Amino acid sequence: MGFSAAFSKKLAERGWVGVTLPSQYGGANLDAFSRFALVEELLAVGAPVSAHWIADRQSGPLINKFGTDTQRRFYLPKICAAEAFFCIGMSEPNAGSDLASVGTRAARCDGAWRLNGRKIWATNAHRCHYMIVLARSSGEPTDRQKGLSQFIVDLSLPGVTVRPIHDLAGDAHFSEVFFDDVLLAGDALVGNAGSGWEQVNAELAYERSGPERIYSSIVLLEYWIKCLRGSPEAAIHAANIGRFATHLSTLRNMSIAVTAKLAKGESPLVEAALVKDIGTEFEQGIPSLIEAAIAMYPDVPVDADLYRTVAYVSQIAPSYSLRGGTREILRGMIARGLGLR
Amino acid sequence: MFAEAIEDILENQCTPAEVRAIEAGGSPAALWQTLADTGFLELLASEADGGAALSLPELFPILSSFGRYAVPVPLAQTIVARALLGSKQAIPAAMITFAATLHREADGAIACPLTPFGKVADFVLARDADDALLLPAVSAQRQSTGVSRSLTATLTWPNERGATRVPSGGTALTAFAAALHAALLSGAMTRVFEMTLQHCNNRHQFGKSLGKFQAVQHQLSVMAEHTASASIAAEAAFRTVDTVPALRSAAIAKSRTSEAAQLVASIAHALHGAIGITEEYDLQLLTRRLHEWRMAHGSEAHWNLRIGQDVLFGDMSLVEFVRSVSPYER
Repeated sequence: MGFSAAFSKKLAERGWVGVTLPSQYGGANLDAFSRFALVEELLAVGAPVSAHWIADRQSGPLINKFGTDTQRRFYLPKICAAEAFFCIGMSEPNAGSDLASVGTRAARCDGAWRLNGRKIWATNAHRCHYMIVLARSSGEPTDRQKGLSQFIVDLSLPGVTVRPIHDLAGDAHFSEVFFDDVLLAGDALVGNAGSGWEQVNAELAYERSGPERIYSSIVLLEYWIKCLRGSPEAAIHAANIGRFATHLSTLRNMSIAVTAKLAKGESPLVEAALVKDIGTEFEQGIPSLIEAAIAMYPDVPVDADLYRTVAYVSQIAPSYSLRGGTREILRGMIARGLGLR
Repeated sequence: MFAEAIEDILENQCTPAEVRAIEAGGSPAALWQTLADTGFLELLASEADGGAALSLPELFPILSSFGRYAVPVPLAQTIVARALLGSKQAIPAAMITFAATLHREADGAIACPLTPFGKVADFVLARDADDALLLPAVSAQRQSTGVSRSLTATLTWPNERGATRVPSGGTALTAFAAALHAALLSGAMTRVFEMTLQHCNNRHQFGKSLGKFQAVQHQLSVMAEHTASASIAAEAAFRTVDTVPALRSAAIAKSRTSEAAQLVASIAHALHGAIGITEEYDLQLLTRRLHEWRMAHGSEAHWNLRIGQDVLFGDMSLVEFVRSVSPYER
């Protein structure tokens, strides 16, 4: 997913950023289905939407749901205008899958907060304006889910250091962020102190269920189909294309079913986990199969763009089942939903 | 509400003992009579014809429950066949099944290989190019498959005499046969999943229930994912205001449920252990059907090929294609 502040700005001018947010804050007051239709179009053509993506998908709705009116009036218009980009501050070097063990600490000081700690794997942190940080506002890491709170952190504040991390594909799309005695205003807190865990889970339901959890490899797949059309290999791979169509169609229907629950105001954690786990399996299966297919006959020339794209997607595909909760975490959540834990 | 009332009847009438008896060669006449007397056969018929005039979305959970109870008679097929044949064809309350294919020999003989319920059905409705052909099984030679307890058989007729031609009934038959098997598969898979979950809660090893082991939990989660996918795919084929499922939706439904069937059956047996492959335990009534229904009227390999050809020889992008078959777009 490419990053282009200019592209996000153009979308915002059309009113296509933050469409689910209330119109008095610059949104369009549309339901989750409208957003589904919009983001599906954007993902299907591989539009460079990552600048506003997190704010549009989860930070904006989070602030709208749990924030104060002052926070809504300050942040939401900026989000809808693509002037404020957000990143996620959940993972830490020692709190990955075990998110409840976060050690970043926000201490009260004279009506404000002092933030210390660090976050990692924050997508686009080095290009974003704000991070919503999950931090411990009371108690000890052994208190687990208790005592966590969420804070909106302006990444330009003194004491914030952002260090991009280079990945295996030659990109630097995520970063490590350090907080050294960062002084936050009292209204940096979103929602209630101590409700961070519940809020993060509501946020993750948005993150896990959307169409982007089934379309990560779609541009590659569409391009392979384009290359196959009219070629002698079309007949050989038709059944594989059919299987992808069958799975995509079913996953899309499942994703719509979860969207329907979100639209009704529910927080379908288990359903979202289920769709994400099986969705990423589909997304990862695409580069895996195409690699094998285009190297099936070494004497048949391979389209240069296809070769490059499949290599890139294969390299980055492991992240699909890491971000937003690993496969093991999601299966554990499903098991809990089944009453096994 | 309809579906719940029907489940109650199946619970009482279509017991595992009854299924076993019919599979062992017992007469299905009494069970069939009960189901016919209850009005099952007219679920799709118009109210003017004394039917329930159900829509396809209303029919789906009912067909699915036939899979759940491993109904050992061609009830789903007969309900659909009677709707396809219409009130013009005055047919008695006979058992009608669908043939997956129809072959014509050089001497005019007709063969319907591996026909589901071929051993017990009174009539076979087979696709013959654009038409459908209603063939009386009484004049056919029935050849068993040799598969233990299977009701599938190959039927052959010396000629077409005695058959009734249903003009332009061919496409509807193909789409309905695929869609109804998808519904049966999804119902059976849901039951298999429930049985496996229950077994993992009840059975203790190493001092705790199987469901407490993380490796087992993850297998159950995968099973839940595929069972849910199968149900969504099957239901989508019936989510239409038309009287016949769209062929592409039926194709996707049959492919997705068939692919899941193998996996769900395999995890169910792995988690049940040896008890699962015994005759006396009910799991086998369902998992044998999962495999049989996966192959009936085209496996996932068949339908994937057809769908893939539609995509590759068409001019839509894959996303456009998927949207064009989505029941949520209309």
